[in-house]
Amino acid sequence: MKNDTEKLLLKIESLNVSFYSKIRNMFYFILRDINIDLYNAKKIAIVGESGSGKTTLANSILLLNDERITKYSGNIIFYSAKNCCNGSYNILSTVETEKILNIQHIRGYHISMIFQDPFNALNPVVCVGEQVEEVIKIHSPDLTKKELYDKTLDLFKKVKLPEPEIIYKKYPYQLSGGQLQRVCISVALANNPEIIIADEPTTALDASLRDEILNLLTELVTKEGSSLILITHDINLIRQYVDFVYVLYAGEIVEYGLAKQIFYNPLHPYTQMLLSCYPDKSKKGKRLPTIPSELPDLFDYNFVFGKCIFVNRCEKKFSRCETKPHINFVNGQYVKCFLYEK
Amino acid sequence: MAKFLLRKILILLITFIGISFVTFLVINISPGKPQDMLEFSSKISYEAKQKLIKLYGLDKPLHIRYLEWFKRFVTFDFGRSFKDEKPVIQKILQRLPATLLLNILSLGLIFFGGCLLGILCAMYQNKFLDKFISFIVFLGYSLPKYWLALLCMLLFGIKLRILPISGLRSINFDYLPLHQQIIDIIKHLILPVIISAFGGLAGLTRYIRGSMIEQLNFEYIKFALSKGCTKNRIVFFHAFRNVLIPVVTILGLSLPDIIGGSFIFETIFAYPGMGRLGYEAIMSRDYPLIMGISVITAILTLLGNFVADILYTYVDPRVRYK
Repeated sequence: MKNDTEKLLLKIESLNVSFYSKIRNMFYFILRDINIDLYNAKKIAIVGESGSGKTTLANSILLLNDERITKYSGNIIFYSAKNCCNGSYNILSTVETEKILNIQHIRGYHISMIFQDPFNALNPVVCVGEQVEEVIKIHSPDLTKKELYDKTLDLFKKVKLPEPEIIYKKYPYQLSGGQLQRVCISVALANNPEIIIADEPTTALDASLRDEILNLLTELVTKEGSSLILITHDINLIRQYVDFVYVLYAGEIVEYGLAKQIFYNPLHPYTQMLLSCYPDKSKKGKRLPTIPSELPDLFDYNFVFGKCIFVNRCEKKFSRCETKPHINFVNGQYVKCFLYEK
Repeated sequence: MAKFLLRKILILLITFIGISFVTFLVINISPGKPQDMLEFSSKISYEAKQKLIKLYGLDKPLHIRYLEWFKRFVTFDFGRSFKDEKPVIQKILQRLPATLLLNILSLGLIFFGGCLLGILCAMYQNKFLDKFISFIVFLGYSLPKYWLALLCMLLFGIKLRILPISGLRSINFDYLPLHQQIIDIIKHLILPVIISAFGGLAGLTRYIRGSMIEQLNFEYIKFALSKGCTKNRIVFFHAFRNVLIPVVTILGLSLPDIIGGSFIFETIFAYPGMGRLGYEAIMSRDYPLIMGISVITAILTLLGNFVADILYTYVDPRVRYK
């Protein structure tokens, strides 16, 4: 599996996700025209400020958005490395019964997810060992109790939880945030999935724990040969952990490319501003810049579909920015901005 | 845990003494005296009445009578009924099994029915099924039970003639073979159990519906979904375990209604239970019997709450008494 590193695992193609607002009685498009390619054993990051649609994107891959108010269009095609779904399967395929069966098979077995807040992610009245066992049992129902127990303890050892036998019987309220997130990671790793989605896995944790958890996660993902989709708002925190970065702004990907290039040579005005907002030694004593104004109103269809999405906050805007830019390929990275139009 | 139990039991004892005293007070200050209620009372002479008062010990002050009653109660002596001189405890024990049978069945029906209907409502929130179930349970809640009971007796007992309308056994019960005896009892129980459960169903159904909808929006549901759980497993295992926590308390609190609240109901169905016994005792101002029934009802209620408290620790691991 490790040899064919260029094998495509997940292809998100012109994905639109819209939510229905009861108050306005209309749909608003949380995500528009998202294109993401994930290759085998690669780690990608999706970066954006809050409200940009990161979590919705993560949830969309496993169809976890509230189904009563969500509409999807486009394709999310999953090319399984394990044998299933005839090699490739479109998660958004429209046959309803087939969809439910397949998505339940994919969730936790082919693609698993780590959530933002480990305190709320675990069921408060079920002991953590049982919650880890559950994900193994659902996908391999033939295992005996003893096998399940041993596998769970192995997982706990893998995520470096001390005294796995004792942790097994604990309830979520008895563990610390770091321990809980380790339990969640062990759930995500349990079935050795091809893809792990980590939705801001360190946001709810103490700053001192962040690097530790991210290190552990990326280390384990590398060891198991899985791919990782890391979702974060903290662009600086993840620079050393990922290969590829997508910058998401108000539901559109404005720039993407190799991680190193994005960090050292950001092209899109938004990425530039985002990076300049972070404190570092050279800015000592100076006031940190902020991005003026706020995210556009997603109900304003004229703005959302007609103009460059960043135009109301951009310092470099000019007349053409009142229309929609295309994606341009510049110096090995992709950027959606008129400044780089040929 | 032992310390917690000890404290709990102490509180129960104090509560119990309070209940028994208030009951004693209320019975004794309510109008109508036992000696006036006896048959042919108008014909009883003044002297005979005074004799009765002396005999029953009604001439002593209230607090002394209470203390005397309490002294006897501690040795499990509830006294004798004013009416027929039979020991109170014997009269109650005759009726208790029938009441417990009816109430445990109806409590079970409320619990399982309420859980099932509440979960169905939550799963089909705001759809037709949800609205239909809600309508039916609210109907049951708002209709007076005794009126509904009379209507059902009319329909099933008199018009359709498929169910008996009163009592617990048929007249020829003793001559029936065992399996038919059981069928006979079941037939007699159907109407009382269903109708007495019908009213209690509404509260629990609505409660479980609301609680389930709330739980289904929590993050841990999404996490369970992301593991690949089926919808049924999410609802019946993950969410239900959390919904169950307050339900245990609610059931504990509804015990008094269940044990003591069937006075009118049992009278309508001529059901040979504690409720009817109590009704008759009150009507004839049979003080020792009223006290006996109240006290036993109180004990059962307090015990029920006590059990609910202990059950709580099993449902919710976060509660561990120290």
